[in-house]
Amino acid sequence: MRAMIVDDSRFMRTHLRQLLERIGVNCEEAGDGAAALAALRGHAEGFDFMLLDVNMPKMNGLECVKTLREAGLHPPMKVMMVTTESDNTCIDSALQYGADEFLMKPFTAESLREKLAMMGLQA
Amino acid sequence: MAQSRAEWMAPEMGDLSLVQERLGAMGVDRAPHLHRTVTEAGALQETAFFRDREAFDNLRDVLLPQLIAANAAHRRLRVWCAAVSTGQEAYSVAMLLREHFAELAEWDVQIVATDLSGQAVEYAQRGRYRRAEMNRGLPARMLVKYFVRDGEEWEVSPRLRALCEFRDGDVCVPMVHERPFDLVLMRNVMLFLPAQNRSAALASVHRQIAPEGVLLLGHAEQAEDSSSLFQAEYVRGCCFYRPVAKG
Repeated sequence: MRAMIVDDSRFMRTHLRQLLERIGVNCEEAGDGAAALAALRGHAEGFDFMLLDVNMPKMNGLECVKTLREAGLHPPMKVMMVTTESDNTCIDSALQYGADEFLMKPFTAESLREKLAMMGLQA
Repeated sequence: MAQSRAEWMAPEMGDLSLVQERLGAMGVDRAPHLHRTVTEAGALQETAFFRDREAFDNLRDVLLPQLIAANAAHRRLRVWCAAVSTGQEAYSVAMLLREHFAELAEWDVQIVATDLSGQAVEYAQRGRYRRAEMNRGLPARMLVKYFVRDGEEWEVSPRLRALCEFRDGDVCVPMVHERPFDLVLMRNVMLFLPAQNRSAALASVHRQIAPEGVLLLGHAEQAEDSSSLFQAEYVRGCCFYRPVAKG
């Protein structure tokens, strides 16, 4: 499986990459929503899923998921928000814009795996 | 004296059957309160929303539609979540019913959830969960629909809470004056009981389950030593149990 990790924190990108690579997922990274969209546009194969932070410079995660769904970029790709944001309003907006799941930071490796399984992604 | 010795033993030993054996050797096998203390001390409280998704998928797609059809005449459905720990399983069943079986809105539906631990029951009754618990097994769509954020916790909505009743209870001891249960979930309980208590738990469920009722155990548990009480059936490779007719 292939994943795109989008987070402005280098620490968090590395942490997620470590967790995912341990279960056999190949990862690419982007530091904000705009960089993620650019990477997606230039990527022919696409990704099985994207882990997307909400609060980021240039383009936040909500705008990013809204844009990529409206543009029809890699439609089968699952998108899970991974963020410290936890207001029901934010979760609801993410779902409305086309996100598939939501994981609140801090999280455990187990809860990350469970959420991936809930989206039909068994690594 | 015996009780304090048992309390001292319980955290270290982990294996409850061993603890029960030691209690027997200490000559305290006729002290139910002591066995309860030991069991409560050693009981695991590992749980999550929609734990074992396959079981909930089977409930949604096959078992609940069958039970609802069987109970359509009197429009009543009773569920027992045995050893429910901090309540996530009961609220998961409530979400499943609210989400997928709109026809039950006019029915008398009750989810009775019991646990040996008074603390766990109190926690479940509060219906307030922290971030780490909300991250476990709960689809984001359900979170938004059935939980209200309050500070650092999320509170179960009144429409779920209205379906659930939490009580102290030992799976081995039948509840008094109860109508039979149509669905019993006793998952990941048998694994932690010594052999004689497994039999007592299944006998207790058998006394309280409706003739057409369904029993679900954990995916690593079997009712093999109670084949006179329950008959195994399979849905999509997953096992569930129907009671053998009561003699």
